[in-house]
Amino acid sequence: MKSAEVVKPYQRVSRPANVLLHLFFILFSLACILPILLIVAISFSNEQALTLSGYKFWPDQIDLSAYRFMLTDSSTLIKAYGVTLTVTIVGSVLAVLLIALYAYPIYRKDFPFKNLFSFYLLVTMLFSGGLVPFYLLYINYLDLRDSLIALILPGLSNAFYIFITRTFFQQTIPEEMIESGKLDGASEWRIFFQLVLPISLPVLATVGLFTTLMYWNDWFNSMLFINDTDKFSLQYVMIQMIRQAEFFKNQLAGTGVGLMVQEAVPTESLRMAMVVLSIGPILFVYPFFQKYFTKGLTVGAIKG
Amino acid sequence: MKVVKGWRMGVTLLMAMSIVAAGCSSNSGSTGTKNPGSTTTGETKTETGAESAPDISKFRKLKVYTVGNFPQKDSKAVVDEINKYLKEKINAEIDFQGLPWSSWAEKMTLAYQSGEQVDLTFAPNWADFANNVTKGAFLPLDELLDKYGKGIKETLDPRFLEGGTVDGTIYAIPTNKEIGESHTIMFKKELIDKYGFDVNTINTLEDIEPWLETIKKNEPGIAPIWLAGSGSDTLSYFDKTKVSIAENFRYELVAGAPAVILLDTKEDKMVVSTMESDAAIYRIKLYNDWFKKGYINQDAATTKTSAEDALKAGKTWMKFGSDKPDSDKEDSLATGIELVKLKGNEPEISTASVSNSMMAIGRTSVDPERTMMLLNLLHTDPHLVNLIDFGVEGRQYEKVEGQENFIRLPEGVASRADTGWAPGIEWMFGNQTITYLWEGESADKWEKFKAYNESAHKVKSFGFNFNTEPVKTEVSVISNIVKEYRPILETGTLDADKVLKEYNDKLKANGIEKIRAEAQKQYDEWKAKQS
Amino acid sequence: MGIPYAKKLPREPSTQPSQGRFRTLLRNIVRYRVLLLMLTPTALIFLINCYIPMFGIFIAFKNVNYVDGILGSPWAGLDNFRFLFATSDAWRVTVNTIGYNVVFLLTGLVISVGIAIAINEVRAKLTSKFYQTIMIMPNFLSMVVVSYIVYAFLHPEYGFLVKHVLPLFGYEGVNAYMHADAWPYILWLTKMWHSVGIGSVIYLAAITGISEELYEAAVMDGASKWRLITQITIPLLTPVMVILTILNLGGIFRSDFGLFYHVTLDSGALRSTTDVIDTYVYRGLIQLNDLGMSSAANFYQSVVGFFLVIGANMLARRLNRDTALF
Repeated sequence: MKSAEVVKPYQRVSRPANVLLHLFFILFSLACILPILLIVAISFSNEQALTLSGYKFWPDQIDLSAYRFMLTDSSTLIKAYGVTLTVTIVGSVLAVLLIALYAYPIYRKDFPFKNLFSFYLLVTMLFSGGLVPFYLLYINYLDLRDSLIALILPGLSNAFYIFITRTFFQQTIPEEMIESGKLDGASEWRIFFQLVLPISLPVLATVGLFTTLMYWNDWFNSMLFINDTDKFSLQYVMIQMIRQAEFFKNQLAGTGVGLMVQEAVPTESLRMAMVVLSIGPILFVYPFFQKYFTKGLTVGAIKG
Repeated sequence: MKVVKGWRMGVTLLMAMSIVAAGCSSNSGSTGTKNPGSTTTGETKTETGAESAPDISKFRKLKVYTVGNFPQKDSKAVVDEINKYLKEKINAEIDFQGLPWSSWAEKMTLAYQSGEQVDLTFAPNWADFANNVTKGAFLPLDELLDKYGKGIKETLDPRFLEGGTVDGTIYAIPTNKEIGESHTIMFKKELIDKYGFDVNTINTLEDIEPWLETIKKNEPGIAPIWLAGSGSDTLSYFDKTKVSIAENFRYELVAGAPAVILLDTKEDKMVVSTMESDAAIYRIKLYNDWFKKGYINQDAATTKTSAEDALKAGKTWMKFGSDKPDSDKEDSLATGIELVKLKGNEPEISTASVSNSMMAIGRTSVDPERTMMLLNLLHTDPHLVNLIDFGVEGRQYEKVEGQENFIRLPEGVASRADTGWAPGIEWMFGNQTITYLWEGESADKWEKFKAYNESAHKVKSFGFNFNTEPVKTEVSVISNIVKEYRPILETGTLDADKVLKEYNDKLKANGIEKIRAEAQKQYDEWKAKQS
Repeated sequence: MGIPYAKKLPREPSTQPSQGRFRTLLRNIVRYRVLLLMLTPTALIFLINCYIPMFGIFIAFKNVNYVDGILGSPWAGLDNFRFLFATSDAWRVTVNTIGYNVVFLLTGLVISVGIAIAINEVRAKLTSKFYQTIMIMPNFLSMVVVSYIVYAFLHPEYGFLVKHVLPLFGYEGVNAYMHADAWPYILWLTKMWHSVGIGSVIYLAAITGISEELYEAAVMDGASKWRLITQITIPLLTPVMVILTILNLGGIFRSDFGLFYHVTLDSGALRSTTDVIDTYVYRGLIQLNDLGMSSAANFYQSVVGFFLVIGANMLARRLNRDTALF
């Protein structure tokens, strides 16, 4: 049942209010986008000019050296893009499915174990054994070193989103609907896939968006589990360069070692170019999810 | 809000940048000993006690861990060549694990904890060495050194070995390179010439003040002194003030202790620098004075731009550097700006300077003896070291015609980074003095090194390493406080008198006394053992 | 799956004779086995990712070494916790952490909900979508990058604010990184800029889930726009707001590390207003590298968060049983 994009009369705000709203959002959008534009500008700037005169929205000279630098090493970047793309898509789809599959039973008021399983989740959100046992488990027992599974699996246990989804179910899926489904003789699976999920597209899209962002931005799991340079995630390739410089400044400060090593500290324009490259794809992702935020899907499900 | 569970774990990780110890349950597959005291482990075959003919009948794959500019494109070719050579020599090959700077510390800690196979590993003192030794990450090397490390003992200045010694046992072997540390300030030659400055007339730090004034007046946009308070570019690096000289440099840094604890060598007392060292207090007030006069860059306390980067960008005319032979030539090449160096103190051998580059053998090594043989080769076999440092002849470099020992880049290659193997690890492996020289370096570079090393004098606390374990709570608290105030004090950004008082009061209120007492106690015990 | 269900879905009474309780348990497992099956894969993954590694909590109470491993190492009692309290800064750090979190929570909530509602009211739907895409962009930047942006504004010599705005008010050559008092505002502004856009997405999705009929019915009763928002939209958003608040309370002793460490450029002069538990622990341990101590800090934060969540949940339960977590 598709919703109409027609704006009903009762929904319209008064004209002056609408103008105010637009004004507010234009200002807010400017505030959000100007720094991004600044970053783009820096990525096209000359490094010495940056240190000399700081950031400018319009660089004195357009300098493509940061991008040139990245593209000479394009094979690594392309592979990293591929890895991240695969992991993100597979991971997000799996995550949304797994989240919904857990959120549904604990939403059901008649499910006697719902408190137990809610608590089961809550504990994981608050308490953690820390990095070391986690690392040991993955490397020694599950033998996931250099495996893409090691990049996907950690992100599949997200209690926060399960609770959000459960709350949404509570808000948008009345108990009567489940009951009427049962009265019609539908099995639990059918109710879930054919009644619950279609109505829940907004929350599934939200969770999908967030998990997509999470997988896309992840560099940590690559650092821990991946040694094969062909399997690094995109963000990890970038973070490596940036943290290199910080390691020197923090750890080696005052030891004299920092001066011993002749390395190429990543330039600021390069850092910004990397930000640009990694943000780009995400911008196309949001509109994709946006179209699921549509109203009116519940209408008719009960009436019918 | 939401998003990124992994980030939370990441923060826990970042909390102890090199992450921390704690292996898993004891059946985690550790192939090594359970007792750091025992020497040989695993499946070695030399039980027969054959000293003269080491048994290399069993092929070994040794895992070598180090840090540098990794990954490098041509790794495979270089490692293959190394392995071809090694197989002939000691029937072993290496699984070369070059880790990037950004994750090396964390990955090594995890490797040690999880009991993974670690044969040869880079273990400098600034990366948790003492801690790792206590926790049992490395094997003791005394016996192995005697049996299979004869080459090392012959070529390595014995003073070096103290760097890797903890409680009388050797746990790591330092690299054979410059043994001491000395600091300089380097200036842009162009400006030195322009104003007719003469480095030979400078004997103390204060003497450069007229230079600073001239630069400030005539060169707007150039900071006479560039400091980066949160990094290593601080003036305390160049501690040649009138007061220091008058006191004959009596205050020394103490290895392993928070930066604010110094050793008063005259009285053999541990003191707090900002409370009791006249030299330190004087210096801080001097910086404050210079900051007020505008000689120091205004954002010194918070900037992340190093003096070297600022120099390259034209924001300043100086940078800090080491005083090892030919350092001004090296740095001029590296920055592209011709530099003149102003000498600081005489080269000093400190615990830190001899242990800032060392190799250890992991507790989980599959064959410690073979690994020691490998290390021995690194100290004595030019072919091997040159392979690791510079790559394969013809691919990464060419020999200069007619000169056996000099190399240059291959035709058409612009810089080392383009050759596919330039991880910057020359100072980590074995013996630097037997490696090639790049075209343009002095032919007598290694002789100069030797002379430099011989002229270096030991600091009084050489060999002493402060163990923070008994006061680790206080150390963590004091670390916070030091980080809070040090950049401000060392760059002279705020009023010295006021900040000094605040700093000292805070130190006192948070246990600095306890740390000082503990340092004194350990030092007295150590000294007693020396005599 | 063919087994016919009872027409009614009864709630099981909670009191049973003990032998009967076990039988009831079995009966429930069988009756609800499909639901149990549904959540099994996810539960398994949580077991792997979270529960199995949980023995690591012991690290906080031990002095771990590589040879004995976590389980074999000697106990250290509460030693590892001492550094959290043995400092004159403990109070300041705790106050800062809680203070910022509470403010961020409340203001973030109000602003995000406000934005969600407002964006929903914008007439031109296409433009509205455009605004939405733009406003989530700040969240894509890591706090390190954000610190550069802030630096561009606050640099003591050529920062945008310092060079062009502050002189208008008579302030010359101000080094913001040396003045602690301004930073609660700077950090608040930065945090809001970074997170309210993406925070509003959840509420937006929630709003689309509200049935149109409710609005139509209210309009027919003569409700104004304002009444629609306050009587329908907001109350229906309340469960989501409550859940998010409760969950965020679990992190009351934790902070956005990037914000407090990188954006402040780790400037010592700002500690009094920007040092939080996470940054304090980081700085204290970066040279010591003591796993036991960092574990202890983590445990401390977890325990406090845990009790807070339980407490908030009990409160929420009183008010409206459905909105609680469990």
